[in-house]
Amino acid sequence: MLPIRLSKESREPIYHQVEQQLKALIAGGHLAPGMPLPSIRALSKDLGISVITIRRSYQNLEAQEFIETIHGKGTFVAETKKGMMEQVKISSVYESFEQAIQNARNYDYTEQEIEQIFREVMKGEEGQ
Amino acid sequence: MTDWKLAARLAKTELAASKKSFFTLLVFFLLMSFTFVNSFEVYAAGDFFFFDFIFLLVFLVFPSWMKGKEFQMAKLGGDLWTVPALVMLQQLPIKKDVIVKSRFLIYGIHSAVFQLLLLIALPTFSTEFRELVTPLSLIAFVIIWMSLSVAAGFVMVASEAGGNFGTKAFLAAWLWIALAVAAMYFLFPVLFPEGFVMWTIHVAGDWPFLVIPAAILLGYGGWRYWQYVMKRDMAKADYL
Amino acid sequence: MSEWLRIDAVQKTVDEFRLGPIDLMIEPGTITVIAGMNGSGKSTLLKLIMGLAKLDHGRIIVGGKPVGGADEDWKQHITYVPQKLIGWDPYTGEALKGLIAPLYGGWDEELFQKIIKSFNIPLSKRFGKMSPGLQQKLALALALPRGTRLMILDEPMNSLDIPSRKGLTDLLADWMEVEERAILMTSHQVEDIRKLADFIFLMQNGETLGHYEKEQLTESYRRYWIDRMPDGEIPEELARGHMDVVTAMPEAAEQYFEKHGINVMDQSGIELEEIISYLLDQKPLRRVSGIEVPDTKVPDTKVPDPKVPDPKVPDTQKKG
Repeated sequence: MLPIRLSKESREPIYHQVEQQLKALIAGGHLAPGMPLPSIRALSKDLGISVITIRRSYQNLEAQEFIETIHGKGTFVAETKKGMMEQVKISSVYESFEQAIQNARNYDYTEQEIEQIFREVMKGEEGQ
Repeated sequence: MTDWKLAARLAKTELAASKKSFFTLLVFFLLMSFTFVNSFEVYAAGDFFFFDFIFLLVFLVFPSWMKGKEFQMAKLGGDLWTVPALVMLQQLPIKKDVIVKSRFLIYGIHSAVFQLLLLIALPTFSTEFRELVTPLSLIAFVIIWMSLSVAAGFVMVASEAGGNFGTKAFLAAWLWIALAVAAMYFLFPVLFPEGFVMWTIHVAGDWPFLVIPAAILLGYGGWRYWQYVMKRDMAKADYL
Repeated sequence: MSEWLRIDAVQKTVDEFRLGPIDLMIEPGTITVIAGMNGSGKSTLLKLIMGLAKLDHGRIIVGGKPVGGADEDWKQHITYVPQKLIGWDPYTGEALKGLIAPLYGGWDEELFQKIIKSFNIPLSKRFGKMSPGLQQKLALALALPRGTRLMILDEPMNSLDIPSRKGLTDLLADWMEVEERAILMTSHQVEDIRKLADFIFLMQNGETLGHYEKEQLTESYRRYWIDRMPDGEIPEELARGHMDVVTAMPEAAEQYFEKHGINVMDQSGIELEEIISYLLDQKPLRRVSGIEVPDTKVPDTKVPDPKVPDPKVPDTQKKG
């Protein structure tokens, strides 16, 4: 079973959540090239999502060459190019920051205050 | 022909599961044969109504009345009356035609085996009966009764198609049965002054070459007709 | 597009109960779960598909052939497991297998043996002597290996224990791995719908309430916790509590919050169970974006907090 967690809170469409998390698993090396992915029906059952949605995620991942489907055999993690992996990593980190900043803005923090928080969190991390 | 093969397989499955009722039926018919053999003397002497009545019942309705409970007509939800097998088989990829054929085979085996037993027991054990028949007239007599069993008795298997009956339809059906029995009671002595069974013995003896083909034709007609009726009723019924 | 089953404007009256008109299409590769309250006509619909009764109106096409027509080949393509198996009582599992298996060209003996083993089904026992759970397991063991294009299951999980439910869910998902198969089933269990359904077909009083793709349904409903409750209704408001409102139109609701200076503190999707309860319990449901539901606008309708539904008094819920 893949460590995919769908968020009910997020406004992100579910097919996109699946797509992003699979990308992260591939980029992070948790899913190595050549590894088989669960079938659409199996993932649908595990995540409680329709095959229509899973198929959409798989199709998008396939179009971006993260995975490939061999007819009659199944779906496998593709040989990803270095640049693409980097891109996923960067965009994933960017996304996290964007979310945090959005959250802070919701509470009406100013830019300076946000930077302040950022520095404190960094210091705390180093302290550990 | 493959239709009959599948029908035979279906019939075999049910007969194998209903061995118990088959033996009950065997015991019952042995007892019946014994009774008929022993009372034939009284019958021949002129006390015939009861003998005629039971004889007819044996050929018309007993084969299906004596079946095991799990194979009998029953109320199966809502106002649907039919035999359980009909509901089961219609949920499988079996043509309606084959279902009908399998029902006819099952009923045919239930009735023919035991009725033949009775028809053979009579000349074998009753001297009074033996004196009334020749080998040829005996054959004609057996054919008359086997054909009658199909032409009239197979209404019982055709009715297995069942249908959606309310209380009213049931009362009406019982009324018809009562009327038929009453008609027989009053008409038979007039039509057959020496008794119905006796009449068939005489007819078989007097015109065997006319009676045999006529009876066979009647039996064949009944065999075809009741299959048609069952198919028609199955198309009409809602098995819900 | 290919279709394994097409139901066109089917109508049937049984005593006082009126079913239809129902339209439904099942495509290969999909699982459709029919949900509805007791007596909504689910089982009757399945029986009509199996050709067990005449239609008053409309038609049903299976594998390109009309159900109930002179050509009965279509029966080869359907496996049907009813809730109550009539006529099976006098037979042992072995006898039933002997009856059923040869009727299907693609009978999968290996799968049959696997299911018998994993569910621990004694084949020498008479069906009538088995517990309801065991009967159901045997019925399913005799259904899946038939390998037909279409499988129709009426409440397949009903009398199964928890491990068997999971076992059956896995078996059904596996069964669907073969391309060109489809399942149409009824269920009262949200868990079945969550794990298996691609499409949900809701029925109410013999009529279609809606036909949805699962995520289309779950993504159409949202709950927002807001800092101030507006006096008026938010767009497509379905329910409100002290701090939260439920909408069937998240985008319009968010625009509304922005316009009225309402801050959203938190938000969440809605559990499938809650959504289906809404749809089945409340008759005056308003339009859900992109989904056909009965369009009965009732002004000033206040739907009570969904967390405390009272199924016994649906009338008070309707009129407020």
